[in-house]
Amino acid sequence: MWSQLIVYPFTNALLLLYVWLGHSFTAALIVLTVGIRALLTPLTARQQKTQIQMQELQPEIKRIQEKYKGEPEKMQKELLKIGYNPAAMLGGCLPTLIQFPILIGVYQSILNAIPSTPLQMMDLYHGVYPWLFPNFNSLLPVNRYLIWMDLTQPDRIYLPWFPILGIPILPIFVVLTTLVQQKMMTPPSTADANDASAQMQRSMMTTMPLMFGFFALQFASGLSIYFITSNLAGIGQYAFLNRAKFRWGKLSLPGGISLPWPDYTTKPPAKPRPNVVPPPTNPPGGSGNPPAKPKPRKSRGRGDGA
Amino acid sequence: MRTKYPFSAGRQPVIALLAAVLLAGCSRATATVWPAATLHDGKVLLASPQAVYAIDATSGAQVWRFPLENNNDLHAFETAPAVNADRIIVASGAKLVLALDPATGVEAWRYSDPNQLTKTAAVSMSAADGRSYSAIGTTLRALDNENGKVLWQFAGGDEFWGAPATSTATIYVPNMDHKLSALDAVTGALRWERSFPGALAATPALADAALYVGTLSRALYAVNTSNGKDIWVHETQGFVWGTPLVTADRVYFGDLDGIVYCVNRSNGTEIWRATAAGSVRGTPALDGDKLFVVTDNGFVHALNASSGTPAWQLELDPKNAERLLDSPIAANGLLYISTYNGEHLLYALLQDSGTTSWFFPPVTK
Repeated sequence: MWSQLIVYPFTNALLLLYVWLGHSFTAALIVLTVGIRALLTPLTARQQKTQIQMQELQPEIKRIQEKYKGEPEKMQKELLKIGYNPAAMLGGCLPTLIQFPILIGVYQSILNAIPSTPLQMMDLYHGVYPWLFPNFNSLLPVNRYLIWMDLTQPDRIYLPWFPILGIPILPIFVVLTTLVQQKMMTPPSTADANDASAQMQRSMMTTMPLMFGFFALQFASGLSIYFITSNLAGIGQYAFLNRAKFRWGKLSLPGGISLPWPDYTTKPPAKPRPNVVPPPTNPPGGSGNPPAKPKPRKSRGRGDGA
Repeated sequence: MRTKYPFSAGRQPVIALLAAVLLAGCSRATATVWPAATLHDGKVLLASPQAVYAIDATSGAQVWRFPLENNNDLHAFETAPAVNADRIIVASGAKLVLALDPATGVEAWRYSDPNQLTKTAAVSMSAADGRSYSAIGTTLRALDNENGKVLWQFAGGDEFWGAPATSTATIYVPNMDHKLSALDAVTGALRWERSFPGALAATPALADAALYVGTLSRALYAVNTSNGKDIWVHETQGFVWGTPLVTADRVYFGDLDGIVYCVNRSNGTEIWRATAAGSVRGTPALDGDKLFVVTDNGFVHALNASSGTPAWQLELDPKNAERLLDSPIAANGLLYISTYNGEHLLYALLQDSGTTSWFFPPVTK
């Protein structure tokens, strides 16, 4: 059932794009990945909106947490007042959950559509729609090479003067693009450095790129192309949809290499939305400091975005 | 007291981590082909992912195995062993060719593919006249049967999934790039080459002056061995992957749409066709007047060879949903069937009824 509903449609879409794009599997994969990201834009935009909302609420949340340390019920009430609702946050995560089957289906269809082994060929034969590919035999074998790469094998380039060790070019790009996307999607935490959430963010910033890099090292390089395209599309989408929220800076790497890097340090502070943050009030009997007045937001001029 | 909010922004990466784990979990198993068997000198030689087994064809007892213990460096043996005078030649997906002693399974020599671009590659094997023809990836090599030294090599346009069909003077090499090449067996020089509408994934059948070539298109071709020209073409419903079975006057073969064909050997006209329960990948087996085919979805069919009418059929192991992708072997009143994903690697069924005589490995209590 999984194959019929998810994997086979993606496999056939990949093969159709392969035919349309001059028998380039890489081009087909890139177009399919971008197409899927585009279709998922309404979902991902909602998710990103929730993230931004969270980011904007962080100072208020922090203040309320400090103020009502020993009064969880009161804290909950105050958090609800400013518009922080864990159930709504769950709603923000649901789009991510909905994307999982699609991501896994695409991944399997990549392996399916480039049959590099007899077993995969058997599976592909059963998965291709005969009405869509009446001359399927002419497509075989699917061209799975791109420059030096065999898309069905993990990517390594061997230099003639150093043939012992292969250089994993695509996995390096997977790590870099995942790092940039991760940095972009993880706004700077206003919590203190020992806060569990901040620690987790820092830990994920390191582990996620390494983990996807590890997958890219182990699995077919077609998957690396999918990861890279998906990351770049995600970065582009986020940068476009939130062009007033951050600036691009540069991350200097050894060897004079600089990487485009989301730079939140120069970002003007976001203006809290009036319908989310209630006007500052002193709680009855409260002894805490009143919340800081929100600073006016800079105008969304062209030069303010990405 | 700190209040935890399970879906705060800082925790969303956990969901991405979960996705990554799911992706890893969905990755394919390492098997690339399927176990394959050959019958030689009263023993079934079975190449399976972990080892090559020599199994007594009558009792099902293990005679020897190679290697003695599982060795991941040798993983995985999935190409039918080739028998050549006093050597059994086996190939591993780890790009190794090994020669074993037929009586003991002791390694005589090994050849390691120098190409480092890939960790594994599709392999195919055949052997004749003191030479082993080992195709690893896109390179076919003729190896000296005595010591494993390369005698000559031939580069294909794509991978060699089917082993060459061999004769003393010429070998016929199928390639996934749709081409069939006739090479001088001693020097490797190209004699002729021709293209087909589909990829060639199986060894052609060689009989007298004709080659019978199944293609991943919808046809079986009979071609002249001297120039590669068509003698006849028989169109089919599905792809023809297996090597056809050629007798004095007939050719039997199956296709991936589950149709079994019997055609006239001299002109390719259809004598009968029968429908199997699933894709027929391997070569049919013939013993007396019974023709046996196995299917990708685990069925075994015994047909009357002269008419195609069914004698019996069974599902080998419904519990484990066996995939039967290798060619069955019919001999000694038994039908030997190697399986892809079942509880047992090899079954021996009685040809008359399909009753299981023995299976390997046996169940240990």
